[in-house]
Amino acid sequence: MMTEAYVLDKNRLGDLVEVLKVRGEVIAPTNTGIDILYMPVSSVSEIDLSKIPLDSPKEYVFPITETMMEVEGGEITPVLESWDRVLFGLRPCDVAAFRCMLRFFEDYADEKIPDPYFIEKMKKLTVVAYNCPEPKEHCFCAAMGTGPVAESGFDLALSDLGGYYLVEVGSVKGEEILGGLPLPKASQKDISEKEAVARRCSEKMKPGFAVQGIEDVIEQSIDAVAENHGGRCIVCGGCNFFCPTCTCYNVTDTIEGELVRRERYWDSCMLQGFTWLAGMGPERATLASRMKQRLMHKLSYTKEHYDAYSCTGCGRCSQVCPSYIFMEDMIRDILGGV
Amino acid sequence: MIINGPNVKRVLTTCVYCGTGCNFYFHVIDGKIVGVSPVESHPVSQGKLCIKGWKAHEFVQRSDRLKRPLIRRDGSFVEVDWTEALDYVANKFKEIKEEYGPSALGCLSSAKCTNEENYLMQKFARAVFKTNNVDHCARLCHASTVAGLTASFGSGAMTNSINEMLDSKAILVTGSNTTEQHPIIGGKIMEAKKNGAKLIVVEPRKIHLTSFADAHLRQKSGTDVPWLNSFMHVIFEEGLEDKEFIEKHLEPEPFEAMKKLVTSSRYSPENTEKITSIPAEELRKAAIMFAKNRPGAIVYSMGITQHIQGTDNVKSCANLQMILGNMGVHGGGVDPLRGQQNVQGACDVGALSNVFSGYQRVTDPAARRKMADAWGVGFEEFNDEVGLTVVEMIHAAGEGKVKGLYIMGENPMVSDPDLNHVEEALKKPFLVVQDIFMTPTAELADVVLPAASFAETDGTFTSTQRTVCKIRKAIEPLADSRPDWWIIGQIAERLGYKGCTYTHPSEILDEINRTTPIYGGITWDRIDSEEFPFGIAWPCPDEGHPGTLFLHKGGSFSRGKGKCHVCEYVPPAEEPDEEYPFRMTTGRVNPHWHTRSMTGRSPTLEREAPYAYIEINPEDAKKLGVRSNWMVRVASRRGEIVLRARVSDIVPPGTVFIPWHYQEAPANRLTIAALDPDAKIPDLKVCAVKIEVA
Repeated sequence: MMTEAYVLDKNRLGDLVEVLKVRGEVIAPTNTGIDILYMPVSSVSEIDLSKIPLDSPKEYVFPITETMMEVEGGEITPVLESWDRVLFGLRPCDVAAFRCMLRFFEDYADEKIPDPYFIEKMKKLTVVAYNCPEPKEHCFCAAMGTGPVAESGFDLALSDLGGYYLVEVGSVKGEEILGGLPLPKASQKDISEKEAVARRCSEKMKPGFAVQGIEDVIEQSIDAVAENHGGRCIVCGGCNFFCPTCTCYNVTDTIEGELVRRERYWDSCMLQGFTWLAGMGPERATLASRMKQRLMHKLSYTKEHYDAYSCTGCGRCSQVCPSYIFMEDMIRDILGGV
Repeated sequence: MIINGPNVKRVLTTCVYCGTGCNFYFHVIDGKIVGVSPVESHPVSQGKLCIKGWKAHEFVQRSDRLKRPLIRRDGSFVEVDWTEALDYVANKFKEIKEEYGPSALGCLSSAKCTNEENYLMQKFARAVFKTNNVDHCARLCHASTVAGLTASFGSGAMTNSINEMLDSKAILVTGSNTTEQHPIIGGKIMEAKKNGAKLIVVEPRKIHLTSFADAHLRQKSGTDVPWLNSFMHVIFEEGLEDKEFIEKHLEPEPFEAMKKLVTSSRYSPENTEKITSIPAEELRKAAIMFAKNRPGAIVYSMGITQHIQGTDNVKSCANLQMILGNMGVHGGGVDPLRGQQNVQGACDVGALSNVFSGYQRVTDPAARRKMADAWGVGFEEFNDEVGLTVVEMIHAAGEGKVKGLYIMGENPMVSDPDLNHVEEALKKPFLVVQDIFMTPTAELADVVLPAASFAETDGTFTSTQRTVCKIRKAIEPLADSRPDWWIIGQIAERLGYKGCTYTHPSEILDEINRTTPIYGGITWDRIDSEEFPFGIAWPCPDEGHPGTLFLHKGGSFSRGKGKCHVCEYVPPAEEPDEEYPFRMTTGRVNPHWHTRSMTGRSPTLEREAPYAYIEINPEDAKKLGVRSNWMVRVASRRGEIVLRARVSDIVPPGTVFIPWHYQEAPANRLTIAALDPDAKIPDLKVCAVKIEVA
């Protein structure tokens, strides 16, 4: 829902941050001197947009560990923590990924039971996207059609145009926020400049493929690709843990005296124990079969179900893989036929 | 590095599991550790973690953590406060020392505790108990590495660094299931292979890495000296040795003696095939491949060290690399992979029965004088004889010679060989166990002291590539648990010595800097400075030194010239026979770690491999009438266990494999406590068993 676009002087970014703080806890990429991490910030001086961080902001809407309920003396108390938050500087791949997660949690793949834990957090979330002027080594959002600019799923979106930012409004909330910060309107020249920056960024990305239609050809080469690449997997789960669209979780009940706490925590379909069959050992016993499941899910099943791939080309899985298995290589091999 | 948000904290720390030394961030919300994420700019882990690292937080705040000191009264444990527990422990130790003398006391230090804590434990043993009976579980894993490489090179640690493997032209992996046990390193080896390096795996089992190997030689477990000597036999035969390197950098007489042995017909591939079962042609090809692709690295772990000839196995690896000129070059080297996050450090700071910190010998009067001055102890008070090692100490306890044992962060009731004997032995002395969970060892204790975990204290760990890196306190110690360094100090004070009392671990590292030349410049401030955010590798003699990523540069060995050793084959202490027809070997699985006291309490990790099992080759299974998932009884001359069978051709016929982590079916009930004469490491990799359906 693109309504208006404005311009913001770079030295006025702090004014925007102040206005956003009114909306809730502001989480932004922060340079800690070691890495850039998504952390709560209280001033613009803590924010660093210069590099795309490996760190995933997923935990702010889908926590690594989350208490769901507590049971004591037969009484069940749901535990649902959420408060107003602003995710500032969300890259387009993550913006698109949040939409993927929302589609899943809204109806749990047709069960039509919305996940209250996730939905509540999304309701209270303000998204300020930041369109990437530069890609990182493993980025391939352009090939997946999810970047390098965000088209939807945000309240505001910033683009770096040199001395100033283009600020696009993506929702009514976004318009309201700017109500507290009057800005000059953007010109057609500014819009064109944004598109030029995006083009240059796309060209720098390596992949050399476009994913459209992969669901029609994937079955031909999936077994070979899963075997070739998946055979090196050392079963760390990192690709799923840090993937911004992955939503699998496991649930455990912990008993502490009289209290039972039910928690859910990040799980991974690449782990051996993800699917056990009684007595027979794991359902997907081989590395190749698990990689096949992962790729089919991301590139075929969800396309069929939601008309959207659940890979947004963020490249994190490629970055965190200790076996140097790269998603973009696997997709290219599938499209190219092996 | 602690980054604060309103209620969200990230704490940068070093992983508690294997020796790769990855870093990660703890995510802490309101005093609860909710998860872990990787560190993008860490030079070794580079934004990656294995499953144990990703879930390293899962065990920390479990409700069955030890919370209060316990004293055994009338057969069961009673909770007491710290003062009562510490007074009781100190008094008992005092009584034993006065009645039986210092040699009746012993300390087991911990490769899972920090450098500061290990330094304190050996200081405690030597200055307070006045004994050299202090050792730790390196004795069970890399004692042969320390002994072997010190003898060959002058320095008993990994000679090169992890990232160099990516530049090696050949990697020989033996006795290491790298992709399961050191996954980050295994990943780099696979990547090196993808980039054109030759990968040779010498290993009885068809481990994951063998799918990528240019050569997989399947030797019988316990026959390593023969194939290593055969490799050298082929290399000399083909004239592929590095003559210039040999002349410039190796002691001539030992080299000639070694060459004479390996070139004898006894060690021809055809003759060693009878011992190792490696086909002669395959061995020849592999040896030539390794020799022709330099620089080459040897990566090894327990399959080399845990043998009756562990030290000789290590020396043979050293011999091989020395004659090929693969030493002191980038991408070469002898790379023992240390399995615990701080077993390197625990050795470095002297938690060993024969050395002080920095490998300064207890038998050397100059070393004793130095420590006497540093510790404020009289020179004549030091024991000048080498003390008992881990297995020896437990046996001595069983024989009534050691009357008091202080065990910190160790679980001999699962980790030591011949567990039935260990159990009997540990019931005899006054036993103090300091740990984070109630392990089978703690269950036998007279006093249990609750310790703080690695998430609850500051300190340093030293990784397998000799890099000293910080751990940082993320939460307060749980309930009434206390850091190990505090506990040791409290007991020492009650025994009249204040030298183990500090207010913060950084003060202990200061002392380590002063007394330990290889750690001289590895100071608390330097190891997380802007210049060295992720620690410094030893040797680092002073504060101007940047640390040393690879040793013996250019062939200039720590001891001067490299020394070759003559290693004759000695068969394992116990081989299969009529009554016990199977060769049993032990090892590990990816999601579990050591005695499973931490990983077994981590939901994700436990779910990966919840059951103890034995791998049996399909041919053997058929003869036994056994199928996968059937319970089988496995017995040796020492004991028996019941566990489920997993029929798989990962093991060759005649060999069976049991992961040793599971206390409910511990492989060590079956293993034999036969020790390598030099390193005193037990022959954990070979013994004879019989199997029947349970």
